[in-house]
Amino acid sequence: MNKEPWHNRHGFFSFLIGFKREFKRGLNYFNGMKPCHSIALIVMTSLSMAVTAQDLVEVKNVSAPPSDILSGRLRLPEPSASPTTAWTALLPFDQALTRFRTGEGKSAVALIAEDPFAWSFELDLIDQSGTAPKSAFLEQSATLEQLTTGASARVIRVDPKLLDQDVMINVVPPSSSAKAWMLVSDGREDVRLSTYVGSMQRLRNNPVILHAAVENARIIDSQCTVRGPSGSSLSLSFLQLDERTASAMFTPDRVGDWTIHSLFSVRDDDGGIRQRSTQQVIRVIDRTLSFAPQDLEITQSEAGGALLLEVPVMIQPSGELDGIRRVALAAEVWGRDADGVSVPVCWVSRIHELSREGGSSALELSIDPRWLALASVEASSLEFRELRVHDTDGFVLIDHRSVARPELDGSILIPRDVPRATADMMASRSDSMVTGRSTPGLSSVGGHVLLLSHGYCTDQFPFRLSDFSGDYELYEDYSQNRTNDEFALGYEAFGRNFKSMGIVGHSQAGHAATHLYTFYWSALDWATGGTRIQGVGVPWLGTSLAGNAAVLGDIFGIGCGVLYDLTYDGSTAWLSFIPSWVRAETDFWTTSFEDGFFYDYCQIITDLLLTDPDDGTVERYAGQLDGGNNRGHKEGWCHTRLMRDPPQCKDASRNVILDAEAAR
Amino acid sequence: MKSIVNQFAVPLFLACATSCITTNSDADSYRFEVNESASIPDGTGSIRSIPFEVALSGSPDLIVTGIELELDVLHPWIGDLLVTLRSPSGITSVLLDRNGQVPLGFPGPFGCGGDDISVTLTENAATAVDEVCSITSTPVLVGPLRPHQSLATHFGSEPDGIWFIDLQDVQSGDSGTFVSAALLLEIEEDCDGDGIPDGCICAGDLNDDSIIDGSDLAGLLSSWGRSGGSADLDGDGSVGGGDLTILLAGWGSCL
Repeated sequence: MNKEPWHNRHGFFSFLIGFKREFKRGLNYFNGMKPCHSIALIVMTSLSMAVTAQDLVEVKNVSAPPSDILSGRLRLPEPSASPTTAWTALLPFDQALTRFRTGEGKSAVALIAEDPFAWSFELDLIDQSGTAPKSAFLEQSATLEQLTTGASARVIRVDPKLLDQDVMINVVPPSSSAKAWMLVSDGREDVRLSTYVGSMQRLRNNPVILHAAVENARIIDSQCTVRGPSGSSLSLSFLQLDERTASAMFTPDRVGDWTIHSLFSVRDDDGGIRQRSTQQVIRVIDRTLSFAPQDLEITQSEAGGALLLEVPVMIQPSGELDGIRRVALAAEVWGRDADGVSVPVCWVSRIHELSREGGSSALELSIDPRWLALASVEASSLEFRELRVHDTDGFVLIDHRSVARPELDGSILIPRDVPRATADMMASRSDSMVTGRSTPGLSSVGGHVLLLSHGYCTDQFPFRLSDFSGDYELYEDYSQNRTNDEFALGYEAFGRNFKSMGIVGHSQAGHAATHLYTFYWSALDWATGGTRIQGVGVPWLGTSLAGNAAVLGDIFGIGCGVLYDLTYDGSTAWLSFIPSWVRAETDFWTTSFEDGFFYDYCQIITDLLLTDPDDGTVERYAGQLDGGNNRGHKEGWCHTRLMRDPPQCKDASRNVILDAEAAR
Repeated sequence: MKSIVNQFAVPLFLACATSCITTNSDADSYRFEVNESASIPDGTGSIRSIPFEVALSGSPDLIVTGIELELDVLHPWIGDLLVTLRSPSGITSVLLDRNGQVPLGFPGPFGCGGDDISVTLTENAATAVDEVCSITSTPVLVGPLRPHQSLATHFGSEPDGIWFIDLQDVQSGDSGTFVSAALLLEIEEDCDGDGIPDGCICAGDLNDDSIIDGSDLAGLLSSWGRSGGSADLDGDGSVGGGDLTILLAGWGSCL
């Protein structure tokens, strides 16, 4: 456990000023203090000024222009658009083929076990002479801290010059009960398996359909192992639809994360038999609410003021063990212009906290009438498309309606002469609160700062602080598994100590920062003078490591647990709530290994699970934020420490830019 | 007769702040300006006082019946500011109090972070300063707005002396500058010293129902010939024909 305080002050404001402010804040918050049950509060016992309160946070009425609808950025993607794709096989050692033929790509075999060196493990080259030259193979050990905490690996790489050679895998366990998995990469990167779950709506006791397709090969055999949150597993059979596609189905009976391991044997176009597997995790939820059949209703509280859309819902009562339940509601607003043509007006969204009692209720969305003026539509022509509600924990779809038409309650006055969309139309006050996280007590507060943040489940701060000379703060919440929403609310609580803050975040911190800026009012809104959000190595489109870690974690243990938000599905669903105006204030940077002439990688195991180029965790393509500001890709830097090239957050040349260009 | 002793003053015809004054043509308005910029001590809570010297000579019986204040301040975080108007008699009214400072929600515990103030503080504005905060608009406080506390607390006080605008910056990190201000006073006579402008007194309205009618006439006649009392409208010591003349001259509504 790191003994450092949750955050360290590096600004110039005096302790006295901080004391005054903290004392006053302490008085203000006194009535709202809750029992000390949060992690943050436990860590804060080391602070001299442990004044805390779990406060309420005001959510934004979020809007986006019609161009965001037309571009499709804010539409829930089809699951098939973000499949999990593999050109390797990760499987129990006793299910692996004992031989493979090398291809043009990276050929390697990894033995993953609690103590892999207790195993007899070697590769043999079956050439015409029957003997393998020593130089054909290179063995090395590898840690697996991004995937599992209970195992390490021995990796044997095959000389890439050895094309179309048959390689024998020889594995002998130290005992009959010993367990190990193998990761086999045969170098045929064109032979791929892609799998995806057919719906973004994953509800308990509702069937989940898994689709699979192979490229440049034909299916010989397939199997699927599904493991539920209780640890129980079931084997499924894929129904083969044709030579290259198959489907399987199961019905999850528990809420939580389910891992899916799909293993295919295929015959490539040259007749060779190969194995491919994908590892996925899906989050299954209860249907906490459903859209009620009643009509939507639009009212306008004052002439020319915001239109209030009330969406009738039926909320399930909260179970005794359930925590706070938040959902994100969104809809496309369409109307008809003077010619009767249907045109997009705007997109609206807001986070809601559900009552524990449940029952009939209505969730609100706010529509600035200036959007109607800009689109030249009357309120009577409005209709709502892609009305959807997601759980903020993983952004799993809860309910969806393709089209809904509202009833107007009273007359609606739309302002005229609106020349253009303005910033205040993108986010407005809602006066609606959700439960936040505890406010950390600081020894000094106020001022305008840059928040430097680590990402998911780390025990060390990634950035080199000596590269930052401006006013900055460290956000330290080590070894935690936070959803994007929880992470963002942590920033919000931290930000209450400051007038304003910009954020430079590593990895998941990029998600958290954009999530905060999109959904909640915070000190981030007040940041000026530079770039509001800067992300380094952020898996905007997710990473396959989340699924791989979940599957391996089931076997060997996983340190921080599964983070569904960082899966391809979770990330793309979440990203469909992030408007262009947020993306436009986000700079992002990607890196990858130094690409030389031989077998290059950042982390030798994850390299076999990711599509090159990657930084050991994030594939370059998945590190792109559509609509964000791409600040470039740099080779020779990896995601974190203990990788082949230095960690990307130690890059001084980038850090000084992050520092200089940050809004504060 | 009126004289104005500050930098300069311009008589204006302001909208009046009380129902009485609304119809009172006896009110005179004066404008006192300060245009010398001054820094506001950052975060110390020290007061930067902006004085307005008011000396309306010629009558000791003048009272304030209306106030507006035009205020221009450059400050990158207006939520830092505490601004108070202080009259010569020591009456204070808080004009801005760390605008937008809320423990929960927008704008946040440090108040409104918008830039700059160019505002006319008046009782007649539809919107109060505390209701206004914007991330995108500069100046963030602009146009006519109601102050944090009512300016009416100064009504009835004597105008002569030194008025102050006290500016305090109570949170360090952002510093600002006072640019200019104009104090607009509406003045009337109050010869009887009751704090009510004489022009507001409706002579003949004996029963104070804001109308001079038969009831008041009956009251006067019932006191006919008696000495003093409220019906002695001309103050000659007895109720008689002179008083009746005054009552009849004001017949009808007082407003």
